[in-house]
Amino acid sequence: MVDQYMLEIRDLYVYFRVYEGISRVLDGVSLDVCKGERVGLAGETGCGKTVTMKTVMGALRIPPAIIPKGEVILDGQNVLKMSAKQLLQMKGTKVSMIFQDPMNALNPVFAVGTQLFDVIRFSNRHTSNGGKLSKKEILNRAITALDEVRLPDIKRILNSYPLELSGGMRQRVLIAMALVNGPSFLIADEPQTALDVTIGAQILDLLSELVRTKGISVLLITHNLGVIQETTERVNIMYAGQVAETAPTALLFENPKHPYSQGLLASVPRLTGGEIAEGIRGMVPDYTAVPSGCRFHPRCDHALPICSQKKPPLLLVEPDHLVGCWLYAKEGDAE
Amino acid sequence: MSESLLVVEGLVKRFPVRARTFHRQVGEVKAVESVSFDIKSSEIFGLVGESGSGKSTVGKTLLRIYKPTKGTIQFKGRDVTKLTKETLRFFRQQAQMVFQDPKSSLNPRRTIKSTIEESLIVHKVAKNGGARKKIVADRLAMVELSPNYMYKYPSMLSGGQRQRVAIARALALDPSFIVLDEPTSALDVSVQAKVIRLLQRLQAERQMAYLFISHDLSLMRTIASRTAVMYLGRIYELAATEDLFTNPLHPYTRTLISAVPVVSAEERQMKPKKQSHGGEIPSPINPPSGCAFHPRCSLAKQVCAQKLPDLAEVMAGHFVRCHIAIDALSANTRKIHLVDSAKEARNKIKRR
Repeated sequence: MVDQYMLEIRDLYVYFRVYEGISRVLDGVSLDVCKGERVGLAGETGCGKTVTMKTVMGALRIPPAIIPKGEVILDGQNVLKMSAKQLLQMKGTKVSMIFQDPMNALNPVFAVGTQLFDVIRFSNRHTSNGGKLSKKEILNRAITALDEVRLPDIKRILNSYPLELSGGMRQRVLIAMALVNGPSFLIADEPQTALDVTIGAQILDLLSELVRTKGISVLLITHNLGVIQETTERVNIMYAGQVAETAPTALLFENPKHPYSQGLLASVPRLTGGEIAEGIRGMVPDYTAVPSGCRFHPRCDHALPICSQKKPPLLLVEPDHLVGCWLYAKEGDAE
Repeated sequence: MSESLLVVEGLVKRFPVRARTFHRQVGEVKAVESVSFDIKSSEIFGLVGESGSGKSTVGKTLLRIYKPTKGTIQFKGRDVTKLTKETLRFFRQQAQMVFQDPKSSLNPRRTIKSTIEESLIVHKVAKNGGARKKIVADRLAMVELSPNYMYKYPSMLSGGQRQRVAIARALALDPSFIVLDEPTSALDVSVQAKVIRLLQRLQAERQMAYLFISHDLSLMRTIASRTAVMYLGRIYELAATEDLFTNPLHPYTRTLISAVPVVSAEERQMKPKKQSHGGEIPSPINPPSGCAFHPRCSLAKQVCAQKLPDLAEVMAGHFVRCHIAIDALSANTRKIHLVDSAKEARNKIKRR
């Protein structure tokens, strides 16, 4: 049971000390990624997607961040209790990331090859066998990695600088960097947003194919619901630091239960045309003064008295479909 | 309704590429190459394409932000390309623009009031401060913001509110034509939905025409009545939006539509098969010969690399620039009307 999960986030709270007081960003987030599963994390700007991701990577600066409660267990180890050295080791071998903007993620003053070699050397330094790699071995690994992401003319690419490559090629280089050390878990943060539709589709196809053949578990973070629908098996919808709903992707898109998920899905313009909905009234709350209870209740058309008093637990509405909303509570759930 | 507000004929915009030493011209970026279309009064005309297709350049050239290299732009019967400084002022009252990122298009050191009222001062619309303030409050009300926002600064507003202010600024002079250059691409979906609804409502109430520029095909489907697909500075397909999405004829249009990530099963069903084997948009400094899409097209034949196909009207109101689509349709129906020269094609668009 334990080793079935690649990533388990249990009831995670993350606060930040800011000038105005305490910014309560994550409020009891629970989320899992099973081994070999591709999971989506969707939500709008400022809903805590990036904070969640940074916590998983151990990249939060403490202080200003405070983690009063919660566990992040990655492949059986609690990330929050790791030493700096263990964290480096984890990043070198087990976990990789793909960032949104490939231009910012690559260093403009070093050639692509230099940066890719660094990644390989870094990982090697932190693995248990730790011996020094020969230059030839490093080059071979780099070439294999670039070949896997179908980049043509690899010799030239190794010697070119990021600004000499197109956006799609840069993103391919980043994917190669993320996968070169054979990670078992990949966090992809909006991998296609900075790209054109046709190029973005190529990148997503490539990424899906690679992770499937290598059996890598993926957490895909994006605000684009279409991308989630096309690339993941499970999805978590997040709102203001709380997980609103989690279900297998197809199920959730067909039958969203949480009023926020419903509003969000109705706002997406469709290829089949038709009017789009009025959106969701109001705005994402200020985290220094968050609404009590369910954080969505001030914007919700179906709010009940209990919504402002008590945070809803994740309730099972149908097999494998959990919703954090009091509307679906049965008697006795409130206790 | 069917009267053309704006007629663009053979619009060309090239930017010089200069060498670092002596600023010698060493090449040209062919941003827009012979684009012709018309926009009817109170119509939302969509322009889609990937980055580098020249869609924003078209928008900016229409408003004379850039001076066109060649071609004519007729606005209410007057040629905008020939306007002088004085007559341009009249045109600028009629035609306005909303930019993509409201964070950078609003001056951070000006209050909302001073941003909206500037055009009123420049065009001497309102005589005194009181009258101006009234107009500003009125325009804010149009975009569903309360007059309290007048003395705020852009940094105090959310992204959606900032874009509303940018729209209010465009409305200040009561224009009949607005160029919307990706007005919602910096916004979240639920906020985008609200801004799009607002834009639709304003357009219907005030009978304005929009040129809506976007790379988001699903959004285009929702908002535009006619849509043109641009690739490397040329229009490759132009049709009523409904037609374009249910019956896309150009391989590029099909590839674009097939690449859109969608949320529902119905959408997945209507997606055409992609007709491209990958690749990226080529450089507009040195575009491919013939049809610019041929290096990426999976149907390409020899002729595609040699000759640029004409933009032909293959069905009523449905124009396509593709040898293969035109041949296939002419073999099937024989009804198609091949337009020989670019000039005739232009006249045809004008007449419609």
